[in-house]
Amino acid sequence: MEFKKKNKMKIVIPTAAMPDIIFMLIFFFMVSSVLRTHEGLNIIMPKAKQIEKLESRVHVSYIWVSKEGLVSIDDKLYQVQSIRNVMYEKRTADPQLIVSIRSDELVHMDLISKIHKELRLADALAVNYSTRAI
Amino acid sequence: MSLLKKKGIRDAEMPSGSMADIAFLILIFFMVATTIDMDKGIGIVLPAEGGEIEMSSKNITNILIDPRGGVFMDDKEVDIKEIKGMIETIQLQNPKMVFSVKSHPRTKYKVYIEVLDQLKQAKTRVISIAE
Repeated sequence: MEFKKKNKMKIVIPTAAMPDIIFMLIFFFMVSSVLRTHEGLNIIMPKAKQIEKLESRVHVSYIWVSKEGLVSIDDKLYQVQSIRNVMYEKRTADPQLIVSIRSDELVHMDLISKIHKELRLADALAVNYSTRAI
Repeated sequence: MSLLKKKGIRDAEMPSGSMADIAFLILIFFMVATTIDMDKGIGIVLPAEGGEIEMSSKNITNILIDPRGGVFMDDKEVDIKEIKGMIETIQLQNPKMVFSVKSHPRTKYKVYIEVLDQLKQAKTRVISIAE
């Protein structure tokens, strides 16, 4: 007795469109990723060894302090006395706010002390001094 | 008339089978080469306004920084790099010790960060920033 062999079905996944899909992915990531453009002031940060990473950038707000004594928050220059209002608003909007102080290494401590005082008045108490790794 | 017969059009296809591999290679290269730069720094928590606490002077070590960058620990001048070791011995003797950093208004921020870095390296529990 002879069984007639059935025709074998060929199962092929069409791969012709694969490059298109991959290229589409590449383009998507190329377009959606934002390279950080220069923001803030021109500073040289101090170096430190025992540094910790900031967990996320969502809750972080930066204060830039240049050696000329300029203070900038969100690309706007502020007087030291008005930091309390800016930070108080930010702090009410986000209770988990961490203030990162990005200051030039040649800034004098009287300015930093004034900023501390403003932050205390604004109740923004979590502070991080941005540093470079050694 | 058979001489006028059209020649068969030649197949001139580019092989596109490895295109996906090439695209993958580029994708993976960029994924590996991209670094997300994280923010690094020294974290402290400032005391709340009006939340000053009285402490016994036995449990406080004063660290003063003068304008030229000299550091004084309990009125003795010390080298910045020695602070870590000294603090570790103090902490062994008195675990409740609070280190109070006080700087002159003309002190450079750089020196202040170096001192804080030393304190952090010595795993100091409480750092007080005096103003």
